[in-house]
Amino acid sequence: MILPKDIADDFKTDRKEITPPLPAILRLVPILFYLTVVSTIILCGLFLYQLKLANDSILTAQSGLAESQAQVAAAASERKTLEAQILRATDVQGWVEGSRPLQPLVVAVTRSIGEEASLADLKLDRDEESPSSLKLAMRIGTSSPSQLEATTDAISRENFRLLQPEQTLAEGQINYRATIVPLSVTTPEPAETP
Amino acid sequence: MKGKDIADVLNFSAFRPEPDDPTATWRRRFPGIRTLMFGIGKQTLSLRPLEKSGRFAKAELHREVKDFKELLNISGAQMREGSDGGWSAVSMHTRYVISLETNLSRRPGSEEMVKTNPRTVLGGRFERGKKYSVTHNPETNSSILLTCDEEQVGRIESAFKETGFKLGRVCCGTYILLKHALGLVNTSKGSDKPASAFIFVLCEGAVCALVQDQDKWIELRSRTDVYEPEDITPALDLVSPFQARIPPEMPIIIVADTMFPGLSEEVGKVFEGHTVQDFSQPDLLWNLILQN
Repeated sequence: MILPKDIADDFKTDRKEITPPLPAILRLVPILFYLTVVSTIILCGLFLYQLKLANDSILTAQSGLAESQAQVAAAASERKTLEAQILRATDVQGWVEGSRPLQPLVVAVTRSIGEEASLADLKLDRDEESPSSLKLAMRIGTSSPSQLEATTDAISRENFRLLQPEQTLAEGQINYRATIVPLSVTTPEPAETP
Repeated sequence: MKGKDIADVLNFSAFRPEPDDPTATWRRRFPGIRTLMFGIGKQTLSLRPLEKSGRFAKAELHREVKDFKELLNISGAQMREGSDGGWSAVSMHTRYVISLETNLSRRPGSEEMVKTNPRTVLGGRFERGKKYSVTHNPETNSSILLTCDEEQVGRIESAFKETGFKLGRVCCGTYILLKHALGLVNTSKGSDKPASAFIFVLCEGAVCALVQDQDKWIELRSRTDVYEPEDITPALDLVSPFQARIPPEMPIIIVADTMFPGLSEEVGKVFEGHTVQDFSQPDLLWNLILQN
C-alpha cells in the first residue's frame, strides 16, 4: 500500500482571510510590466538620442543653408558686377561696331585739314529720330573758308551729303554744324503740316 | 484592489503562499528567510534556527523548563534574533495522544475535515477541547489518530505571540516521524505485496511504536517524556514487550529525530533475530517539516 503524501499536520488557529497564491501563469503580468518599463526606458533613450541627432542635423542644415545663402548672395553680387561689366563691354562693343563705318569719314575729315589749320573739335552724334543721319559738329582753327570747303568736299567724297549746314566764324575759328546722311539713304520727306 | 495587492503582484509575493498558509510547504512559504524550529517537551525546549541558505544553525536545548512561556519571556528576544520577523514552527512533544482507531469515517476529504469538523469524522470518539489529525490505512478500516489539547495549542500560540513570534506551524514531531516511517515501509501500490514492520519512532523524549503485519496496523503504543537524549534505555524498555508478540521475520524500522550512536545494536539486542534498519538522520524532524 502507499499512504497519501500530505502536508504535515498543523494545529495552529488558521487566519480566516488567508488567500491562496495566484496561479503561476499570472507571473507573466509583472514580467510583462517590467519588460514594458524596460522597453519604454530603452525606447525613450533611443528617441532622445534620435531627437538629439535630428536637432544636430537641423543645426548643421541651418548653418549649411546660411552658408549657401551667403554663397548665393555673393554669387548674385558677383553676377551683378559681371552683368554690369558685360553691359558696359557690350556698350563699348556697340560703340566700336557702330563707329566703324564712320572711321573713313573721320580719317577723311582729319586728312582734309591743311597745314595752317587745326581740327580743334570733331563731334558726330547719331540722330535718335533718324539713326541713318549724323549730326556733325566741328571746330576748325582757321579763318580760311577754303579749309572748310576742303573738309566738306572730303566728306562728300566719302559718299555723304551735307544737309542744313550752319557755320559761324569767331576768333579765328570756324564752328560748323550740319546733318550728314549717306548717299545711299534717302532723306525722309518732312511731314506735311496741315 | 489596494496598493499593497498591486505591490505584491509586482514583487511576486502574491505568487507565493502567505507565511501562515498551512496548505503550503515551509520552503515555499519562507524562501530565503531565516526561521526558527521549536520543540516543546514536558520540561525541555529545543531550538533549531534555519539559516537563509536552508542550513540549520547550532541547536539549543533548554532543560528543566518548568514553563516554556517563562523561558520565552526571558530569552525570547534573543531567540528571535535568529529569525526574520520571528516566524517559527513548533513541534509538540508532550500533551498529545497517538492512538489506533477503527471504523472512522472514510468520506472523501475526511483527513482534512477532521481538522475543521472532527465530529463528522470521529463520531462518538469526538471530545470537546481536542484537536485531531488522522491517517487512514487504505487497505484496512484502521486509522492512526493524533489527539492534542486545544488548550495546549492555545497556550503555545499565546505565549509565542506575546513574545513577538509568529507561528507558521504547530505540529507533533512524533506523528510526522511516524508518517515518514510508514512512507518508508509501504512503497508498493495495491495489496499485492503487503508490508510488515515494527516501526519504532523516537522524537525528543517521545516514543511511538506501531506493528504493521501484512499491511494491517495491529498495535500502536505512544508515550511522551520517556527518555533523555543521553539514555534511551526507558524507550527500549517501553517497546521490549513487543518482542514476544511480533513475528520473528518482521523487520524493525527505527526512525529517530537525530542519530543515536549504537541504537541499532541496542534495538537488535531487544529484538533478537529481527532485521533492524535505522532510518534516523540528523535533524530529520526539522527537514521533514521543511519539506511538508
